[in-house]
This record gives sequence, C-alpha cells and structure tokens, in this order.
Amino acid sequence: MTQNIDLKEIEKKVWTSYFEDGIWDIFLGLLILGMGLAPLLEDIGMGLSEYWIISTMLPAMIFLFVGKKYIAIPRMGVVKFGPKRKAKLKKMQAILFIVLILGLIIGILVATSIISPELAKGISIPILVWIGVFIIGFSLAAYLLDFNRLYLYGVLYAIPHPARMMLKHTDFAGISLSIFFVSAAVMVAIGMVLLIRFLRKYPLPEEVSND
Amino acid sequence: MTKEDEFHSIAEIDRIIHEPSRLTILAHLYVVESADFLFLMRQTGLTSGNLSSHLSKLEAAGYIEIKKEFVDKKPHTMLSLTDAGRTAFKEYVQSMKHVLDELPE
Repeated sequence: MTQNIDLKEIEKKVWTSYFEDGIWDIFLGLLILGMGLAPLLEDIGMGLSEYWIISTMLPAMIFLFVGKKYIAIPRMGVVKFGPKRKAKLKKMQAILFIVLILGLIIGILVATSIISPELAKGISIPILVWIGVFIIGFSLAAYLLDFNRLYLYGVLYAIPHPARMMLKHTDFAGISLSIFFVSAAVMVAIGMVLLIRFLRKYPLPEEVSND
Repeated sequence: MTKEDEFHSIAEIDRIIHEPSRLTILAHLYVVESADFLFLMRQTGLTSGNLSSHLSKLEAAGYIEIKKEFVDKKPHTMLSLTDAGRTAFKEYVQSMKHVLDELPE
C-alpha cells in the first residue's frame, strides 16, 4: 500500500506545515510569560487581580492573531483541512480552552485566597490539579495534533506555578518566579528559531499569478 | 492476465493525472478540503507559471474547481478537487497498483 503511505505522508506534511512558522510556540511562551507577570506585579506591591492576569495574557492572543494573519498566511497561503483533521482540530481547541480556563480559574482562586495554597498533609490539591491539567491537556493536544513539541510545553506549563508555591516560603523565594520566565524563554526561543527559518524558507511572494 | 489485457490496463491510465506535477497537485488537493494558489505552490515546489498551466489542464478536464474571489481587495484563488477529480484520482491509484502488481518480476 505504498500509495496509501505516500498520501498519509503528504497529509501529515501539509498538516504540520501549520506549525512550521513557530507562531504557536511563541504564543504559548508569551502566555506563560503573562502568567508569570501577574504574580510578579503582586510581589512588587501592585496587587493581584483577575484583570491583571487577563491583561498580561492579552499580548499573546494579539500576537497569535497578528502573526498568523500578517506573517504566516501571506507567505504560506491558506488551506482548509479535510473533515478528519477538522474534527481533531475542534477537539484540540476544546481541550486547550478547557486547560487554559481551568488553569486560570485555579490561579485566580489561589491568588484571591478562596482556595488555600497551603499544603495539607504535604499535598496541595490545587497544585496537583494544576500539574494534571497541563500534563494531560497538553499531551492529549500533542497526540491529536501530531504537534510533538506540546509534550515538552505541557511540562514547561506544569512546573512554574507549583515551583513558585514550594519556593515562596523558603530561602529561594526570590527566584520562585523566574521559573515562569525560564519556561517562557524556552518556548519563545524555539518559536523564534522556527519563525526565522520559516521567514527564510518562505519569503513574501513578489506577485503570485492566480490565473 | 494475457499480454493484451496488460496493454489494455496500461492504455487505460489517465494521462492527465499521470504527469508527475499534476499527480502531485491532485495528491495534495486529495488530502485537504481546499487550498489557495500560494499554499499549493509552496507545498508542491512548482513555480507560479508551471502551477498555473497544470491547473488550467486539470480544470479543463473537470478534475478541479477554481474559485476566484477578492480578499482585502486582493485577488485570491481557492482550489479544490471536484467529485469527478476525486473519483478519477482514486481510479488512477487503483489502475497503477493493478498495472504494477501484474508486471512480471
């Protein structure tokens, strides 16, 4: 069934080209950077509210929209995927949405002390939920999307908040927030490398004849 | 299978699809719902002129549909396989497998 294998490879190549531009990587990096900025603002005495959390994540959303519309599409073109991929994409969007909303809710509940961040018998439920949500959510999305970097990003999302909670009351409190920025830096760096490679590989077409 | 049957199978191969560039175009359109001209150009590695010429032949054969529209006041061309094109591509794949399977070792 050589022909079947080839068609599958073509379909996979077409699909993975959607993530070739690194824009999703940078978006996810900026998103966790926003998650880190909100508690940083709290630490420097500006208080922590859901408004701060949402507004620090806004640049990531804007970057995703602008990046896809003005950087990726003019260079790569537009494709509408077949029904199987569309179904997978919808599942993935639902999973990521749930993951991010759950993460946001837990963050807000902990930040506003509705849920105690203190450890009970050595285990903090919000933290366990946080780790589980990101590891499981991102792994499912990675599997459904054939987007293997999401396995790594799931871990990078899962670590910073629990690490902050654990280090907050220790001698290492000063560096507890830096883990957010390290995670963000890894994702943004990967995204930037991919984006530069993408821009070199696909320069803006001078004038595409559509005839 | 007699030699006459083998020649008959080979003669039945769709020559419109059999050309490598057109086969690549159809294979890419087969796995998606639709794609624009630029996307197809990037994926197939064909030049604009080459792609345009092959698309015209495929459209004339009724295998693809070309929809022209304006997006942000710029011309934009979306391409998709027609039902006839999808069927012809499937039949081509079957024919090729049949011909190649029957070739003596």
